[in-house]
Amino acid sequence: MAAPVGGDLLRGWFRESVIHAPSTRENTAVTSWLSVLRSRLKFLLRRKRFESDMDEELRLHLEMQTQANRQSGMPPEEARYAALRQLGHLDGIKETARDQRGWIWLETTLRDIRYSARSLGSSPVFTGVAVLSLALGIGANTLIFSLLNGLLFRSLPVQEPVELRSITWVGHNVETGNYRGSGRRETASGGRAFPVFPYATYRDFRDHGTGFDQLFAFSSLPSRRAVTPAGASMVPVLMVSGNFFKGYGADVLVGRPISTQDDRPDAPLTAVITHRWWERQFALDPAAVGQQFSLSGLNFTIVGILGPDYSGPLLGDPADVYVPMSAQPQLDPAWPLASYHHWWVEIMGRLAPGADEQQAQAVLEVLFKRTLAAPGGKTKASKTHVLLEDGSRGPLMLRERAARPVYVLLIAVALVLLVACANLASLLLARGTSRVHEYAVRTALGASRGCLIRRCLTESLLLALAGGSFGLAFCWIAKRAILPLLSSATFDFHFDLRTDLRVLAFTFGLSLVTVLLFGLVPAFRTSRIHPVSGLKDRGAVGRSPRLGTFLVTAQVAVSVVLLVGAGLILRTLINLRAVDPGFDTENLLLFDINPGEAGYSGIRLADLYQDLTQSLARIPGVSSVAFSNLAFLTGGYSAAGVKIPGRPVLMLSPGQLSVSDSFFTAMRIPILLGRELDARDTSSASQSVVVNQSFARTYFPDENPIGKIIMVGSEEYSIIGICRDSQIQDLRQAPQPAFFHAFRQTYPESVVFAVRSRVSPSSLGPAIRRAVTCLDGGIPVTGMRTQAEQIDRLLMLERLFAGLCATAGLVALLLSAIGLYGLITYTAGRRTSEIGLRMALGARRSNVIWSVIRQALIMTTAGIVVGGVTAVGVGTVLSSGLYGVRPSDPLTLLGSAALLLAVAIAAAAVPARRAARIDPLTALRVE
Amino acid sequence: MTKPTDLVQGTLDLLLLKLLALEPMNGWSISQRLKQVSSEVLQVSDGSLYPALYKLEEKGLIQAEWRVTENNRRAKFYSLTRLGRSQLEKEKETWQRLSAAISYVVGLEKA
Repeated sequence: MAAPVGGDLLRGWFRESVIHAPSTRENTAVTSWLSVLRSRLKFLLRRKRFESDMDEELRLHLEMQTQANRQSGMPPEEARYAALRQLGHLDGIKETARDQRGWIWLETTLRDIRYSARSLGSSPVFTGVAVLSLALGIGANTLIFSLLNGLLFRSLPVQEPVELRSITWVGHNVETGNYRGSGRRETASGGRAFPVFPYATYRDFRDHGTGFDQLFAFSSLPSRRAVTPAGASMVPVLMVSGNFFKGYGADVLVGRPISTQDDRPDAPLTAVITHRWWERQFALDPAAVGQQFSLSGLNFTIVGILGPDYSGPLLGDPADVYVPMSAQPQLDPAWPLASYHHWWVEIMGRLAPGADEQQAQAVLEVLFKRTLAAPGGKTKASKTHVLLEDGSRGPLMLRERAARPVYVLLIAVALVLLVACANLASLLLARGTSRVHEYAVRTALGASRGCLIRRCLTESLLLALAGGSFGLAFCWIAKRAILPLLSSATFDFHFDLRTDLRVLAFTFGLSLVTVLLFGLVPAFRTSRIHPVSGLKDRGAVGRSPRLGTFLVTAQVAVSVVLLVGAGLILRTLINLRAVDPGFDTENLLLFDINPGEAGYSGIRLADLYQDLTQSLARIPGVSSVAFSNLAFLTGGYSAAGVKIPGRPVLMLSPGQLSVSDSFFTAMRIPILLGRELDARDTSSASQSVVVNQSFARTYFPDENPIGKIIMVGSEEYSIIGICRDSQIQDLRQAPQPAFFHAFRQTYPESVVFAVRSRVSPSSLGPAIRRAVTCLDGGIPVTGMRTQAEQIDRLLMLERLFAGLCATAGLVALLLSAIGLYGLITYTAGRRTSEIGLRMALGARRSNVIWSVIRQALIMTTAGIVVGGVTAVGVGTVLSSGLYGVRPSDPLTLLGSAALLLAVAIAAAAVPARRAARIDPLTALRVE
Repeated sequence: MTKPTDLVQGTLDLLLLKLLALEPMNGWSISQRLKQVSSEVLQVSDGSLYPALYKLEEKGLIQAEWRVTENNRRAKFYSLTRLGRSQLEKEKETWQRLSAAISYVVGLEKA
């Protein structure tokens, strides 16, 4: 029994002494730590000195010992030998001394990096191809991720964005009336979520809601006429509640933000403008603060200017002018502030610190139920509730929808990266194999397996760093190419493609993961070298390039998927461009004017249009002039419910357009029956419309519609003509029923002029602007574009997708070609002696070439088959985006396959010819 | 190469600090002195002496300078720093406690 007690006792003492020892040291801990650091730093910086001191000191030790030995009577030779023996293995001592130094890890790492950089630099082709492959893959991913980051992930540049909540409501079986909002969304429970509320409801929320520091509202007015020292222009406006800037958490650069004082019915009209608008309209003049400018004919005083990094809450940050809600009755009288029945303001809130969110939501819900119950409302819904959603990135509804196509692109670029990785892996493998001899020598000299793996990984890390950096550069170039394309297609949408920390982390994280993943396998394979066999036979490792073959086949397959995808989108684009729009799109210049904003109405408006038409027609080179309240092929159209007296109501909303005299002649839309609208259709004449073929077919299937009456609302119109169908909204849908009013009977406040010319239409711009200014300098000419550009804009998404997918496909093709070339070169090189033997036995050059190319063909064909099947599957999933082409389109599939085969043969031809030039004698002698 | 496995871990450091506290010395003198003072009991090879010295120097417990010996030879002389002196005190204390404890345990009689 005593022994265990003794043992425990012993352990206890030891533990005490061990625990006790460090605690006595703590008094001087800080100073000692500092001086240790200092002395360590000194050691780091004086590595050379350390080495030479050590040499010298050991040499002196030997000398003194030798002398001592001689003094004790040894013969000179013996004395030196004994001294050496006493001291021991000199290099061993030095090695021990070096290894125990504090900085050994840093020195080893630096040495590894230096060594790796040198070894990468000594094989520039390998390094170049690896870095280029990585950079292309990483760059494409960075670009698409930046886009997604701007849309979805980046927080608003405001104080504490996490406190922001976006407020929406959800209902089932919702019927809306007087609703103006930017999108709705299906919820998981089968209801729909809506982002807008009546302003009166907002006021209830603001006054009676709990748990919020601020509840603020905003509503956008897409395009208002502004007159500044720089002239008249159209500007997107955001109406905001007085506490907007306080709640949103943003401050101004110059002046002051809009306050609750400005948001009172009797307050003078004030505005805050963005930095970019300040630059455009006031050339960054600080005196702009305090200046007045006209907005929709009202004078607003600029009180503040937002900073260059400011970004508004809405997707794409369109607004350039912020005005208080109190301006609403004058700016936007149709949507009264006091009404519970007009749905048009978006609400966000900033939570108070430590607020109970559930309780806050419950309070809002009670208030919201009151809105729905308000008598006389047209909005009906059941099972409603209010949602508080994360508002740190602004209202998310539209962002999520806009991000959807970006995910498809993300998949495409991920595939490109996969192809690049396959290249990288096979390159590293091939490199490892070609360095078998070198590694065998290192192993034989005592390098451990861990040391070899560390070397391999250091090389990979350097590659990752270089690939990531060049990838960022690629991304930067691509951004410069894409941004103008995007912004030309979307006027007031400001894409956010900034490279922030998240993007950088994504880029380098991706490079690192890629390279580690694909560098690890080759590293382990290479490190498994047995020194003896590695030294004896240079081809001992990597007996079969089976992994290489698999990688190349996979590359080809992925390339096929991307190429087929790009092909399908290209064909869709070509098909859409080939659709007959039903009117002549050649030599047509469009521009917008909005005289209603400048105060024109009624007869004055009609006269202005008439005068402008005449003065435009006098411009040399113009052959005809027409206008309508909406342009064709913008992606949108205006619809109206139509009743035919004495007939059952059809649940259809045909398109309606208000057009000028001789509109159909100018647009070259043939009138099939009756006459077109002209100067006879004045405000006093009987109300007439022209309908298109589809309209006639739908509403009057078996009779002549001429002279028939249609009811639009309470107005009666008689049909005076039938025109041929044309594409009004877009090119994808079949022509829809539509009817056309005379402008003198509808007085559109803004119109699109269409000027047909005999000369290049874009050369007419200055003359047209002069003509408009001559009539009234206060009417801005906006959105000048040719009809062809309008169609480009309509097809923006398709063009963007076609461009990006084609680029992705070609990059993948290029990478596969590089991969194939590398593999074939490698295998052909290994077959040198075999080929030499065959040729010595009488094989002809063509046989040799064929045997090499055949290998490439087998891999490529396998890849094509796998890729083709996958592509058809992928295409089927995405078929809703296609037009006039099926996912199994033989032309696209065969075209992609042919392209890949051609590239594969080209890539294999170089090594094949090299193989054929082998001299049998030399080849056999090498062994 | 013999490593100081025959010495309790850390005791070589203590010995070196103690020797250098008496007077600054060069490497060879330290090796001679070690042999002298510990004679047959403690076996310290010259091979492990130098790495131990460098380690102490890197830790800032001792410092070195090149000086001329009495035989008119240049040699690297080591001396204790202030930090080394206080470290020596601590180590000494720890060692005394430890050795006393071990002596006590070794001297235990079967009860």
